[in-house]
Amino acid sequence: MPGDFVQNDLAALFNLNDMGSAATYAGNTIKVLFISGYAAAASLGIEVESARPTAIAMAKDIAGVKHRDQITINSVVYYIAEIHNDGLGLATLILSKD
Amino acid sequence: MDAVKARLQNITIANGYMTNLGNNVYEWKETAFAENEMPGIDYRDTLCERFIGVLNRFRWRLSVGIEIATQNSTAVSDVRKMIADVYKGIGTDDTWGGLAITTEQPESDEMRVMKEERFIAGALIGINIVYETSFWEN
Repeated sequence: MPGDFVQNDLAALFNLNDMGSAATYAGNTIKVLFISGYAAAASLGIEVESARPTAIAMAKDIAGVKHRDQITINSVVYYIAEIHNDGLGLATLILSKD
Repeated sequence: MDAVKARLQNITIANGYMTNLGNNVYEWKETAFAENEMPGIDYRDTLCERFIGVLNRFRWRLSVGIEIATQNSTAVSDVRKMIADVYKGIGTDDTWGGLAITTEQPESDEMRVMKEERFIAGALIGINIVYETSFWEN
């Protein structure tokens, strides 16, 4: 079970004045850590500029999350493509615009 | 290669094709496709082989790789249409206005789907353009 760190201290990481971003999921406003670094897609010698948008959320804020759910961050609607639960109270969501 | 470029640029819906792939045609593109460069084509004349030589005439096979890239939620079905458009375009005149003897139809084409911020689909088509020259012409 998550201890004090996850239950209390970890929430500080999501502070909107620091690294946190507001997101809308299932009609609720939640806090996430949003990262969208450059990620080239390459295959067959074809290379395409892209990004890999990722949101880290408190698992309790996205209970019941499933693939293709929508989450809105910075006014951009993303689909949840992958859900990586760490089992300690955090979930990493791999996002897609399609 | 100017004839190849012109033919590929002709692939637009207005010209009777299924896609507007011809709006973004590049030769030996050195950088990754950007969002506003797709759907797009990059073509590369990679190899030119002499395969017959008779009586001061040589016959050459020029290999051209045609790469297609697009991205959106319908990228996979779009790329299938784009492959068909490329074949259709080449098939309108496989002598490229009389510059070549023929163009060999590919034995295969290859598709890939990649997933990052968007669904990205690409395809690779290889064609061989057969043409003839005199001594020391290319």
